[in-house]
Amino acid sequence: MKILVTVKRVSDPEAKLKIKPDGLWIQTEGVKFVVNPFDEIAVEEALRIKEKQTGEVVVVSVGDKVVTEQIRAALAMGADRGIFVNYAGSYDSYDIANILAKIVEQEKPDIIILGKQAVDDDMGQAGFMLAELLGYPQAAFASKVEITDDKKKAKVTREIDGGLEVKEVELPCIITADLRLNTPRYASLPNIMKAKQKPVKELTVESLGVAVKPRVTVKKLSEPPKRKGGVKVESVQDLVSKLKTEAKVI
Amino acid sequence: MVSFELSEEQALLRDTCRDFALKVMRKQDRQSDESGEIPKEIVQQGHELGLTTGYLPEAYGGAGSELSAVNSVIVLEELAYGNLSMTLHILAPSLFNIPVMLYGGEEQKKKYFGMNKPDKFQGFTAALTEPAVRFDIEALKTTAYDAGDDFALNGEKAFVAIADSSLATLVFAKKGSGEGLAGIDGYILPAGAFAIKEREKNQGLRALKQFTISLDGSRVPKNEVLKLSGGFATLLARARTASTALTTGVCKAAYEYALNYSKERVAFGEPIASRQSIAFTLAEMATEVDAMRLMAWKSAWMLDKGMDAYKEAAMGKRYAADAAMFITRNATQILGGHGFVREHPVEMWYRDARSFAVSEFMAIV
Repeated sequence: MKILVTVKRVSDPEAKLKIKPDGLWIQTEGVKFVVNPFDEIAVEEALRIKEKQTGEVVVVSVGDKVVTEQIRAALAMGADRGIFVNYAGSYDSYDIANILAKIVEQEKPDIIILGKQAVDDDMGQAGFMLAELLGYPQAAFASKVEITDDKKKAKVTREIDGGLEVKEVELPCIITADLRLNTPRYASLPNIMKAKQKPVKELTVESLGVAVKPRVTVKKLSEPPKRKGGVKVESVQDLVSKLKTEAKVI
Repeated sequence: MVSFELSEEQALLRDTCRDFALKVMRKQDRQSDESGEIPKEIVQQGHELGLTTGYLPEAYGGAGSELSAVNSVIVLEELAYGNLSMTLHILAPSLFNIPVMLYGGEEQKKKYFGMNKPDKFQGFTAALTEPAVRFDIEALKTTAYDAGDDFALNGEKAFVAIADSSLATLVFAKKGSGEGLAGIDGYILPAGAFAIKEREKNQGLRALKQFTISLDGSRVPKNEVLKLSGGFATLLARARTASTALTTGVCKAAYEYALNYSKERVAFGEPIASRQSIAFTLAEMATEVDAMRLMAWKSAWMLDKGMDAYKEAAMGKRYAADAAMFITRNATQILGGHGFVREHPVEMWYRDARSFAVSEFMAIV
C-alpha cells in the first residue's frame, strides 16, 4: 500500500508572532518553523497504516529550499522517501491542489492523507480541491481510519456536530486528519541521524506542468484587539444588572 | 576552523529533545521531586527516543548511530533543561555501555549489548565516587586484588544511580600496583554481587535513586574486567564534558524562567526587568549560560576529533559548576519570595545545580 502524505512548513504555534510592517505577512526572522501539527498527525496515521499493511510512505512538500527541513522531520519519524517541489513564489490553496494532483498522477498512491488545515493561514481547502481535481472520494476531518480486509476501502470515522459519522470510501481516496486521529510519535534520535540517507526527489512546478497563478491573495493582517481592562462593581445587584443590561448574558 | 552552525539533523535532535523536555519531563518534574519517584513511562519513552542505546552498533542489536560527543552535548543540554533527575536516570545505561563500547572486548560487547533491549529500558550503571573525606579521583580507595582466577574488590562507592534496578554495574577501582589514573580499570559486577546500602538522601536530584554500595571482597572473574589501558582519563574527559552540557541545560531553564518572570512581575509601576539591578543580573546570567555551552561544545568537538580534551573538559566542568550557583541562586533571588516557595521550579533547579560541584561521572558522552 502506497500512502502519500503532505507536510507544510508553518511557524511554531507556540511562537509569539509579529506582523511585518507592510501588513501582508508575519515577520519570519528568529521564528521557529515546524511541521504543521495536523500534517504531523497525517504522517503518523500513514506510518500506522504502513505498519499494519506493509507498503511505502511518501512525503511531499512545496516551498523554497527550507521546507526540506520539514520533509526530513517526517522522514525521521519513519516515512520512506520525500518529494520536494521547489517553488519560492506565492501560491493559494488551488495552486497547491494542482501541484499535488500532478504528484498523485506520477506516484499513483492508494491513499493521500493531508492535515485538515495548516495552522498558519487556516485555509483548509487543499484536501477538498485535490479530491475534486482527481475525482477521488474523500473523507475529511478523520478521527479514526481503518482499512478493510480486502484493502479496497477505507472506513473513516469523522467527528461531526453532536456525534460521530462513519464513512466508507473506495481507494484511492483522500483523507484529511483531525486533531484526535492519533498522537504523533517522537522521531527517535538514531532515526533522525539516518533520515539524511533517505532519498528526497526535487521537482519544479515547471517540470510538473503547473502554472502557478494565485487567485486568492492576502490583503491585510492585523493583530487581535488588545483586551480592555475590566470594571469594578459596587455590589452583587450592580453586577447582576450589568450582566443583564450591558453584557446581556443572563 | 570550527563552525557553530547546527546541521539539519542536529537541529532536529535539539528540537525533538526540547519538545520531550517541555511536554513530557516538565509535566512531572515537581511531582517526581516531591515523591522521589520517576514515572516508569517517562524512562521508557526516553529509551524509545534512542537515548540509552541508540549508539550501540547494529551488529549487537543497536540502532548504529555514530557516537558523537557534539551531538550528545546538544541532546544533554535539552534534556537537563527538562529535568536533571530524569535525564540521569534515562542515561545511566550509557555510564556502562559507552566504556564497554570504547574499551570492551568482543565477548563483553556481545554479552552486555545483547542485554540491552531496543524496546524496553534495561538498567545499567557505573560506580565511581567514594564516600571519603577529600575524595581524590587519582587515588581511588576501592581496590582490586588479583586473587588468581578472579579479582577481589574492596571499598565503598557513593551516588550510584539506579544501582537497585541495574542488571550490571561498572565499578572503577585501582589495582594494587597501579599509578594515578593509569592504574584504574573497570570491573563488571552483575546485580546481587555487592551490597546496596540505603538510598542517598540528597539536597537535590531528589527524584533520582542513588545508593551507596559496599564491595566487601566482591569477586570479579578476569574476563569481566574492562581493561582501560590508561583510558580512564578519556572517560573522565567525556564525563566532564557531559557534566558541562547538563549544567548548561539546568542553568538555561533557571535563566529563562527568571527572565520571563521579571518581565511580568510589576513592582513600583513597572516590570522588575526594567530595573537596572535585575537587568544587569539577567545579562550576566545569560552570558554565563552561553560561556558554559561554548566550553561544552569545544571539549566535545575535541573528543570527536580524537584529541586529548582532558584539560578543556575539566575547565568546562569547573567553570560551569561555579557559574551554575551564580545563575540558579540569582534566579531564585529575582523571583523574591516566589523563589523560596516550591510552587515555582527555580528552587528545585537551585538544589539540583548543587550536584555539579560535588559529583563526578553522572553522565557521559
